Amino acid sequence: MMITMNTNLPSDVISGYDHNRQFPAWLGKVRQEAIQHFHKLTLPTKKDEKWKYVDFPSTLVEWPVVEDQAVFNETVISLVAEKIGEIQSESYLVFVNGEYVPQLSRFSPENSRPLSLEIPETFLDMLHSIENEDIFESINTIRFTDGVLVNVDQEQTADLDVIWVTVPSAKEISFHPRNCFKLDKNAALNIRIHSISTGENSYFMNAVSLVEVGNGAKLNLSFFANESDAAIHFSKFFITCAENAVVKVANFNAAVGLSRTEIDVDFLGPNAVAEILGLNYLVRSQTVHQVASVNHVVGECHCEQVVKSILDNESCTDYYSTVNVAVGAQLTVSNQLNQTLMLSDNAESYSRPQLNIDADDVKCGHGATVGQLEPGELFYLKSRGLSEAQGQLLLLKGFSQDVINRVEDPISRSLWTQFLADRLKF
Amino acid sequence: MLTIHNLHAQIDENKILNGISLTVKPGEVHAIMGPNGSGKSTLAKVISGDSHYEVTDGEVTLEGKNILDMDPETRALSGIFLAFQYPVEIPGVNNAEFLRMAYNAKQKFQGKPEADPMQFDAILQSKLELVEMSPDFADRAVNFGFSGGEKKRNEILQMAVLNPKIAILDETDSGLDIDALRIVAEGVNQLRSPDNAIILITHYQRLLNFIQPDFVHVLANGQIVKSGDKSLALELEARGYDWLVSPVNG
Ligand SMILES: Nc1ncnc2c1ncn2[C@@H]1O[C@H](COP(=O)(O)OP(=O)(O)O)[C@@H](O)[C@H]1O
Ligand SMILES: [Mg+2]
Repeated sequence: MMITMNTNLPSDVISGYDHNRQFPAWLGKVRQEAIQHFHKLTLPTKKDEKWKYVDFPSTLVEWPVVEDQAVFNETVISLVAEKIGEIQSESYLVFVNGEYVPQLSRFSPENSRPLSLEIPETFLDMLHSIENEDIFESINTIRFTDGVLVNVDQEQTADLDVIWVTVPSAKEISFHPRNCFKLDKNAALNIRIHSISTGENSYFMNAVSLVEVGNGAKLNLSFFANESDAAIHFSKFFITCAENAVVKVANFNAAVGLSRTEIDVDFLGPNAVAEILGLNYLVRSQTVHQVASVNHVVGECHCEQVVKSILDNESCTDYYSTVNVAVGAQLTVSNQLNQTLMLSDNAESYSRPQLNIDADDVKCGHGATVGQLEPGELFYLKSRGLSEAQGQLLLLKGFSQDVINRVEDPISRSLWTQFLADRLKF
Repeated sequence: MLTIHNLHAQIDENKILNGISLTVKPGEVHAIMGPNGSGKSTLAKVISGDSHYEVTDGEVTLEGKNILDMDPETRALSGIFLAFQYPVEIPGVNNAEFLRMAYNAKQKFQGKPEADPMQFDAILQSKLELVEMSPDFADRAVNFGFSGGEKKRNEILQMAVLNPKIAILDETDSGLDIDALRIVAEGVNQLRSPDNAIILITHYQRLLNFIQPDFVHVLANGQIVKSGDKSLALELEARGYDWLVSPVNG
């Protein structure tokens, strides 16, 4: 049920900014401003299209940030080791219950670091560049204590995994990661963010990531959620693309309770290319909202969105995407595609692509389909000796394939195919 | 090897097969001919286990085992293969991956070692050559965007990889030009052995110039109305089917 506006938000919502750790003085000021702003904001309602179907518990904004929660036990150690083995990562930052765990991490400090360790000058402008447009962004500004800072220098490349692990805690808790990824001219970054939980715990992850992709720089960012059914995960990416930038953002959801990912892409220079990809395979009462806002501020840029979902039982997805083409942004190409495969009659899917075009020489399109597994296709596969599970696996892989083919990072590609094989266990 | 006895099948109360009996022995090639709508494809699909069709009477056994109780995959693993008249397109599903999975399912069923991707690639290459298909087809999605002729060749490729005991080819010759027809026929002939058998469903006797049948059967209104040797096919070509098919209400 959508909560009604509460003008008397509890004071402990904002007390979280009073962290144990030392943060620079300017940050205190930024947080104070955000608190001022916070009081002017209201919780999103059904009238707000971007939040229309997002159904979160009314107490969510009160879930406390609990510091020194970085549980570091055998379960966590083996889970992280397993994950790292699976992705064969050489460079990774691990956070447990929102806090950086140095013992589990290995990274090259030249280009990446946890925010809690130190905030280099280069990130100052970026860190507080957001407008705190909605209440969750504002809460993130007030409460963030950790996150990942990456700066890839001109002509350099980097490859990094970020692993957020949550372990059960006595009560509902929240984390508010703030990340900044900055790619200088012709830099390249592959970054994979994994969100996993060790138990069926309730928590609220409210992440904000600020991403600057410089001239000719290339970013492959994937986000892979395999979380508790009681997890609430909101994540917002603000991405700016300079001239000739190439950006691929892929959002994979294998399991989560309620997830909302918003990806804002601003094209600031010509000839930039961005792909917003999504793959969801939900089998329980889980809901994933994928929100995108693509702003063609200048022309001659190309954006493709391909979001696909496989929904079983009572799961639900909601795709809400807005493409804005500014006056004069000629020769824009921007497409939205959302396809859903229903494995159950009880699953639900909403698809709401929007186009606001103020230029005349553009190519923009959108498509949405909802379908079921084709019995004829399955029979064909079985008639060659494949079992039901093998046939389904191939068809689900086939359905995912045009998204997977667009994912350039081979590790994120294989993560999805391996996950499908595991889920359909045969 | 394959014995069909008094087979009746229907779809939505609509009787299509009305008592078909046929015995196929190892090493034999049987041709089934007959007018459009006589039930040829239905017979093939009922044998391969298409659940759209309801079998109301009769039995089908493979090497003495009742196959009508088996699911389609068990029938396939037991050695039945249908080259479909209209192979389905399956976007996104890689042809080679599909074939390797099918090949390994069969190896496993027979208690033989499974092939890793490298080993399977070698098997696949040799079979691609057999049907004169470019290696590119291995990496394309199953039948997706294939021409009619390419789809038919892909069926023969699958047959070659799976090496079935009973292969049923449902109008694999239609839509093929003469060269493609020759390639398909050569592929089939190479697979012929004293241990397996082939059922060729066809409209035209031209395929039978390339693959010599031992028996020719005419199917009409869901029944075999005449059986003979290869000369029956020539006779049908000359005279059509009318002399064999009694008018439905006549
Ligand atoms: N799936 C189906 N639904 C309804 N009728 C069908 C179906 N399949 C076959 N039939 C009917 O059964 C009869 C035999 O069809 P088919 O076996 O395809 O004939 P053939 O292959 O000999 O041309 C036709 O009258 C056809 O319309
Ligand atoms: Mg037919």
